[in-house]
Amino acid sequence: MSKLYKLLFWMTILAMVVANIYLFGRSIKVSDEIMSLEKKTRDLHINNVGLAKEVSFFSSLVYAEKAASDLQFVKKSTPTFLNKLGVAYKDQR
Amino acid sequence: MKLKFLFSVFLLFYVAIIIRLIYIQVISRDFVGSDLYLKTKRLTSERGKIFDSSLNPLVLNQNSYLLYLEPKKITDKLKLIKFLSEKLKMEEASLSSYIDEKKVYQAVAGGLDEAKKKEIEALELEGVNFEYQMKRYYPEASLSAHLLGFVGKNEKGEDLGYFGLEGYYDKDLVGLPGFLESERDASGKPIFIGAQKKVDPENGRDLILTIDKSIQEIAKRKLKEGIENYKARQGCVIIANPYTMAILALTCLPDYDIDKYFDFSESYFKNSAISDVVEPGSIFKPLIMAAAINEKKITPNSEMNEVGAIQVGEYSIKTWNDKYEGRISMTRILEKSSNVGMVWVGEKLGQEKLYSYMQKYGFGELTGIDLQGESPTYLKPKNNWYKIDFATATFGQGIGITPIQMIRAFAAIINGGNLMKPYLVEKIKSIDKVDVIKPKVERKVISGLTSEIIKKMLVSTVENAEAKWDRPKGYKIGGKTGTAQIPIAGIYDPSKTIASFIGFAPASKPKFVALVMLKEPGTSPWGSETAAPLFFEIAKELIVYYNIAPEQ
Repeated sequence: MSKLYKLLFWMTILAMVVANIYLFGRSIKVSDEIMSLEKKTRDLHINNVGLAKEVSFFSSLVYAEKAASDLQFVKKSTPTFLNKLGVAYKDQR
Repeated sequence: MKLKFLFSVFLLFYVAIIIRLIYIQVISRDFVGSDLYLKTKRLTSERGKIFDSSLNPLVLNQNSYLLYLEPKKITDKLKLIKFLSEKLKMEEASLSSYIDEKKVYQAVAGGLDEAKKKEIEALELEGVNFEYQMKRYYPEASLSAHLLGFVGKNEKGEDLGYFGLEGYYDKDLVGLPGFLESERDASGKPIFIGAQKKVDPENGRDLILTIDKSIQEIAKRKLKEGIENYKARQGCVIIANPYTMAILALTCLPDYDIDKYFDFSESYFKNSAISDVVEPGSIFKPLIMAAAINEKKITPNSEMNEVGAIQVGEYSIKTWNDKYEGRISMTRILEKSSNVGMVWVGEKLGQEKLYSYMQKYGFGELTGIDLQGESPTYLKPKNNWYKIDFATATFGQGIGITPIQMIRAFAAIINGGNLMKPYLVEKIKSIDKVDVIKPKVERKVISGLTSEIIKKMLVSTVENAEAKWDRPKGYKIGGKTGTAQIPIAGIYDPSKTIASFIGFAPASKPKFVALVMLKEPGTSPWGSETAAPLFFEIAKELIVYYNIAPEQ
């Protein structure tokens, strides 16, 4: 009987040691994952901010002006205002 | 024997650990504290963004880095100074002064972009580190510098909005910082069974403006050309929806480079459209005319006899060209901008009513526009007004108003008579809700009928004005020129004027009202020869932009 208790005792100790080692290893792994996720989140945020900046630049008037100048689209718009057209007036009855 | 020895070694080892733990946790508990592993990190909120009415970004945030030194970790000080001074364009001597070996942390340069950070990192300098920050980014550069304001620092080194929208809406834009409390080991990794507490930051609220960036661009480009062509010292253009007083564009020049605001003196930050108190001149006349019509003291066809200068006390009031036409109608008074005629209208209206209408139009009170820096104006008590004050006020001299007050009052006489509160932000957006700011009627000033009458008179004023302008053909445009002399030390200098034009189009249902003001134009002092042509240049582009059909 006492042999059985002894065996159980040492089995429990062994199980606790194994569990301890497993938990220790697992906690290190989880910590690494947290660190890695934190870094990824930070990098994603930085990338998003950078991309938002790029998108806004390419849709800006500043870029349009520069692109127009590079492509030599320099002619200004000259709308024709029609005087005494006789047709198609607004609210004409 | 060997087993006993091994057991003793282990025992000693455990006793050593227990003693050490007792020392850390009991004896030096106060010194080590409960936060030996507990690291608290402030999570900064992202400042709110600003968009125009079509959701085009005007202000965003961008990545930025603060370069700091850890002097204790520096191995080669000379190399570090040489390379860093080159990259940061700093004097070696001033960089050297930053390095104090006794310090653990020393901030050196903020606002570095990603590329600069990578360049410096490539040098692999010991003791050089970066801290992530954010700073403002303006996709449209300085298109709306005065409107937007800028973000500087307060005395604690925290971001703070100054001037314009950044200043006015600072509390909405700034958001709330969060924090992270986390037990970490020596290498900074979270301890699995330790305490972890995170309160997320609440980002600042985004602003969606009434400003249309295309109209803003038109206004600024044309104003710049106008200032150059007419050799003016300064100028402003305000364009608004007359029915709501939603500001569509607001620009004053000279302004400043919003990215390098720190290179400019404070005088450049002042937005003249809301901060300058000026005498309006003849653009004020339609307001008094509308008041007199509203009080049924006159009609557009009422006539007065304009025979010459009139005497008010010791002062003689003349027309701008000292020419008089005899019997003229009220409409003609506006067309030829007759000061003499306006004094007559003022007398018909009466002093009590004239003063009361000035109050109704909102002079002497803040308009409440949502921009930081609006100047109050002062309407002196009625008891302190002399007869000459009532006379000159009818043609816009002797009173001080801001341009934003002027356009607000003018909008009231063409929109059916409602004095509106001008505004720039139409939506404030946070993560879970959107607050919509609706136009606000302050009070009814004149009747709808009077408004229709004055609109027709103002169309006639443009069509039959003394000066002929290159107007967009096929459109009815109403408006009025103004030339106000600038008082310097109590004396009017005839060579220094504020030339202005205020107008609207299309006349039947105005899509926009615009005020153009040029300070001290050099080519001509008259509003009709400077501000008016500039107004029509802008109106032409707006008509095309809005695709407004001809109406005559």
